[in-house]
Amino acid sequence: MNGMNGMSRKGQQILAAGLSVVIIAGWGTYWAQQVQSVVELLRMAYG
Amino acid sequence: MELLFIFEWLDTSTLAGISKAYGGVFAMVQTVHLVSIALLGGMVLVSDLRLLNLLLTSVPVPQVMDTTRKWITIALITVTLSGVYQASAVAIKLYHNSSFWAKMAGFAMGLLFLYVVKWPLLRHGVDSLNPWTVRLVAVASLTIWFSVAATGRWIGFS
Repeated sequence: MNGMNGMSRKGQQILAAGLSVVIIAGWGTYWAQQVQSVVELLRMAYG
Repeated sequence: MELLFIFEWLDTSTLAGISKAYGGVFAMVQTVHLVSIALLGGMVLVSDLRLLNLLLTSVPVPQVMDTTRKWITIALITVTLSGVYQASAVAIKLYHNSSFWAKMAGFAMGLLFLYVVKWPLLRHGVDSLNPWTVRLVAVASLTIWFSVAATGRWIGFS
């Protein structure tokens, strides 16, 4: 698989950084929601 | 897209016949699967922690990437082959398991990220790259493979 081999070095970097930010942000958002759900459950149980 | 027919085919295949009939063979293949996961996870950790300058800092990045790439490729092949064998024993059950699909989505994402983004980017070393791009790629890679491992473990709980 050639991947980004045909792109310029700068283009490769921008794509890699952009995709990485999207992946990390998506993962962070998902876990933030999970933590929020747990906090909400604890609040309902003990609040 | 309806994929149930693939799982129905796998469930009635010769492979499924063997995996359901011989528990000892299944256990051995499962061992290969787990060792392959350990190898894959270990090599991903070494590779990404080196990119984050947290591990093997005295070894040049290209050398670490070349070595880990070889082992990651071997681990990906063995983990896939042993995974198909194991899946054949419980194909229909897996089809209805959301954790299995989360793992497959993560696995596909991990493969794409490796072959399309990470390795082509690092092919010519990291000296000409922005250090923050390298760090972001390493953290994204760790994130993806951690998710694959976590959802894989979750198949057993669900």
